[in-house]
Amino acid sequence: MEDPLKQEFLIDLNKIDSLQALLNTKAKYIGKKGILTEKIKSLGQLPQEERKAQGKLLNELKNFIEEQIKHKESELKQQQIRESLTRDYIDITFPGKDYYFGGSHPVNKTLLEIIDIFSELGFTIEEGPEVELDYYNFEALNIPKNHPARDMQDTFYVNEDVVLRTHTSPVQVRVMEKKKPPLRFISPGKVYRCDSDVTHTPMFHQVEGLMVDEQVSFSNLKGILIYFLQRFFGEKIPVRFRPSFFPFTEPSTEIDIGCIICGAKGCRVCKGTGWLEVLGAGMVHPNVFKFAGYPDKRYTGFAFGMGVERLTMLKYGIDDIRLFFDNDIRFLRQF
Amino acid sequence: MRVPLSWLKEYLEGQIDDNIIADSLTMAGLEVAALEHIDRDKVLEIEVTPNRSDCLSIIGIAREVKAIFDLKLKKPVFNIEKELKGSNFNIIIANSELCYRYAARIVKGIKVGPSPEWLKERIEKCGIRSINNIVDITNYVLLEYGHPLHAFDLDLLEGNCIRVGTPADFGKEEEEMETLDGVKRKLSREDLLIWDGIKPIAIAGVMGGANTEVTDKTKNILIESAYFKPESIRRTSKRLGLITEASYRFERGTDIEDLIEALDRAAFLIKEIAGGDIYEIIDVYPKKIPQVKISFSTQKLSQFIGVNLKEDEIINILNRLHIKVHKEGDFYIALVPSHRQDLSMPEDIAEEVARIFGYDKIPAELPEVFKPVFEDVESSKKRRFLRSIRNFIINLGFNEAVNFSFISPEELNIFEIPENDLRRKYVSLLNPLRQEESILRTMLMPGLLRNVERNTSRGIDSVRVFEIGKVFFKNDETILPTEDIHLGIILKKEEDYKNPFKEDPYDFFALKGVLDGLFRHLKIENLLYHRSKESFLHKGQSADIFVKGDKIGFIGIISPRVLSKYDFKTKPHICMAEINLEKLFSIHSKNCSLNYKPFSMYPPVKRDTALLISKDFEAQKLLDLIKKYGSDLIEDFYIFDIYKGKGIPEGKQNIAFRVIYRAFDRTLKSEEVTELHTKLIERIISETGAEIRS
Repeated sequence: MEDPLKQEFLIDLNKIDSLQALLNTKAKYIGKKGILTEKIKSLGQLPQEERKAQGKLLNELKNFIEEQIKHKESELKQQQIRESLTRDYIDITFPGKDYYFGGSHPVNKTLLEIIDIFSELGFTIEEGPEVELDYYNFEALNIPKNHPARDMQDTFYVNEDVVLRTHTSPVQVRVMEKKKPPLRFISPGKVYRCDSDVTHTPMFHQVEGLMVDEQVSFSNLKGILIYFLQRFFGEKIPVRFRPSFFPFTEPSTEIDIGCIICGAKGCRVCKGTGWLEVLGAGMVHPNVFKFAGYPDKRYTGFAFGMGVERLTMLKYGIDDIRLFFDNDIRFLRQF
Repeated sequence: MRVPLSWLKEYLEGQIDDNIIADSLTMAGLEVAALEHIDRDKVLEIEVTPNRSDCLSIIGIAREVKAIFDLKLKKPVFNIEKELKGSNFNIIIANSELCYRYAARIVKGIKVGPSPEWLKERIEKCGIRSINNIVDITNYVLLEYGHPLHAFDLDLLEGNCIRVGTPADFGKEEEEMETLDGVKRKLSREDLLIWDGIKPIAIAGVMGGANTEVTDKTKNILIESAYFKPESIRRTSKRLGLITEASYRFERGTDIEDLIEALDRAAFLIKEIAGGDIYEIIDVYPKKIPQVKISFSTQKLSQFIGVNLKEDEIINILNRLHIKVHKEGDFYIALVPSHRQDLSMPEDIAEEVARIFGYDKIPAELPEVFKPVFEDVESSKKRRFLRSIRNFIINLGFNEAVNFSFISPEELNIFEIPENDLRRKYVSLLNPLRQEESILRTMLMPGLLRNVERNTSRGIDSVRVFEIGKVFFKNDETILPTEDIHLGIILKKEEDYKNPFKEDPYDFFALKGVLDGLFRHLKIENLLYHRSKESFLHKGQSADIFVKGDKIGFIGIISPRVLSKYDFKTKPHICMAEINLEKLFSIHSKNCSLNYKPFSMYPPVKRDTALLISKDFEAQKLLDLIKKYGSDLIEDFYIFDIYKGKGIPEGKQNIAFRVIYRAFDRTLKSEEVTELHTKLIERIISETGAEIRS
């Protein structure tokens, strides 16, 4: 025969639809003052034999109820989780809070990339003033006053002896005055020329480099610069070295890469030649060593320089140098 | 230099492929920048570097092609009779420091007229306009030999002589003369001039005078062929702003030995084309340029280039370049020909060998051993510091700008920078491109504000940009100015800016949060914000930033007065900050040594309190009081709510803050914390007159 208490409990259990209802039911039967608890408490009043049998029955019922409650509880919790998952929906297509993305300036991006590549080759970084003595900018680099080579660079003057540096080469002289070879460094930074049109801005960025030691050769110059260009533009980039002239190097060279716009077939950017000039370089002129106070004929070395804007334009297909200093957000955030 | 291929090939003997000439010249250092087809001819546009004045002529280029392809050079063949009539004409060089040689020939009985077609065509292909047969011939020979010539109308020369000297040489202060282009020019006492017996008749090496010009009426002429000191020609040409085919060549150096041949060639062509009788040459040659001899070692040369060349190979290349070589002991001596004034040392010889051998044939080799080089610790630290700031700010959603280092002095006025402010000690340029770019910036804000203005005018409403760059201050003690790196940040929103969330990412506190975050990132503490004294900022919404009494920058909303000077159609809300990164770096590098601090594993106790306090009360004071309370058990504290308005008495505000207590060695008891916190609140109340809000 089924225990009526158990029957009653099972009916109650069936009706339970919340955790609160479950707690209530639990209290009703097995709480401190629950029906079953009371019954167990009153067992003592029963005669010995009956007590034993009844006690067993009640305990079994208690275990049963506890188990059923536990089971129901876990069922309810599962259900609650299921419900909350359905209920707590948000519109995930809504924009995120605040963290708008920023862009790095493409020229600085390139500058840092160049620095990283030369760091791999063990080059250090040297910097110098942007407002520079005429002496460091020209004379110590073998460009005396009234030398035609000064025409190659239109200079901003502060006064007769002070200029805005037209290249970062003065850093080389300043370093050579202080340090003895071996030297291996690049000097990145802003430079200025009195020139402004579609293809020139009065301020732009350069990276120049210098390597000086005993027995550095022109062949080493080629090795280092080809390494750089292949890291920057990709391993398959064609590179050629053309003889050229700079007052502070001898021999001098200009370095072209195969035009990456047209695949060296000839286009507007490479003026139909299939080649793009990207670097100037050469073996350091002995007069520069002389200015630095190095012993005659002991050291050789090479120097090179590149325009960061130009490299950036080629790398990202930017066709107007003026964009760099216009600072339109729609331009900047692309990098 | 424009070179018609048909003309060039006249001077070359041997097989040569048209199609590779351009490329080979480029690879030998004479860059062919463009190739133009005119009729059935090709014209090369060659960019001649300033050191190679010997290549500013067709024969000069032919000499190069000859060396590259190992051909034979075929110079023009012509004949001038010897022992001609003497002219009884005098040439006097008064200044042989500036004029080393002056030669001339007189041709009498010529007929001035148009040039024959072939002559016209040739000089026009090279970009020179045809004038008349005499002028055209001097230009033709200039193109052919690279030596500038000038023809005077002999009958207009007074005193039967030519004198060469500066006004100073003839005891004059200055002169005035009309040049062939019809311009009256003032000449200084140092300009080298050509004179007849009475007056100046040409600016030496630059341009002839109108007073002795060859015209249709001219019957007799004097042709000049001279050598002038390059620096002197350059100085005059630069000062007058007058660059001519002649000055361009003279200032780069011409061939002093070859000038007679050019003179004779011109006289010959004039006789052929315009008729007349050639007179005996007059040649005054007071100052010789000694022949340059360079001693070099073939072994060192090979090592320097980095390719193993045989002695024969080296000597063969040099001979092809007209450089004679002979051995003296362990060395070779190279005799430099007069047309190569650019060669003076062994490295020059190495370049000649390398470029004719071919730069592309030299192997590219990384040095086998890199000896270690060391970087200055401080500057390397500083670079990392700057890079880290840059990345931090970009990652917070700001775009990096780069502005020119120039601004206009007017911008400092717009910013109402006081007269005695450091930012007025700017560096001016002597030759700015525009007034707006005439001084070096002493602050970044004007540039960044222009960026915001420009972006706004292009319809971009929300702008967040920053710049890290140098500012420049004149320094009375040093020749060069002080260069400091600054950080500028600016953000702008339109008044009707809509954001789906409650936070305002564009207000003062948003930017202050960026700075606070940056300072925390850099482990910089002890920062203080005081009400700003900057005139260009909104008085009520700006602060100057101090570290230990030293101002390192400012932050604030731009003053409406400054804003009204800019072109904004609506009233934008602009917040800006500028920080001196030199100062920040020195603070950072002083306390950037990181030491791990142990932290407590016991639970914290949090206590929140709300205070009713005067609305002028500054939050910083509350925070300072808690800090000053100095309990070891306080782990952290912060304000979490500020409220004014409904429910708060007039003139008051509600500030709610939280203090977090935690002990290092035990779990704190509630009573202990309550006592501590009550005392703290009592202290705050007694110092500020606040009331606890229930």
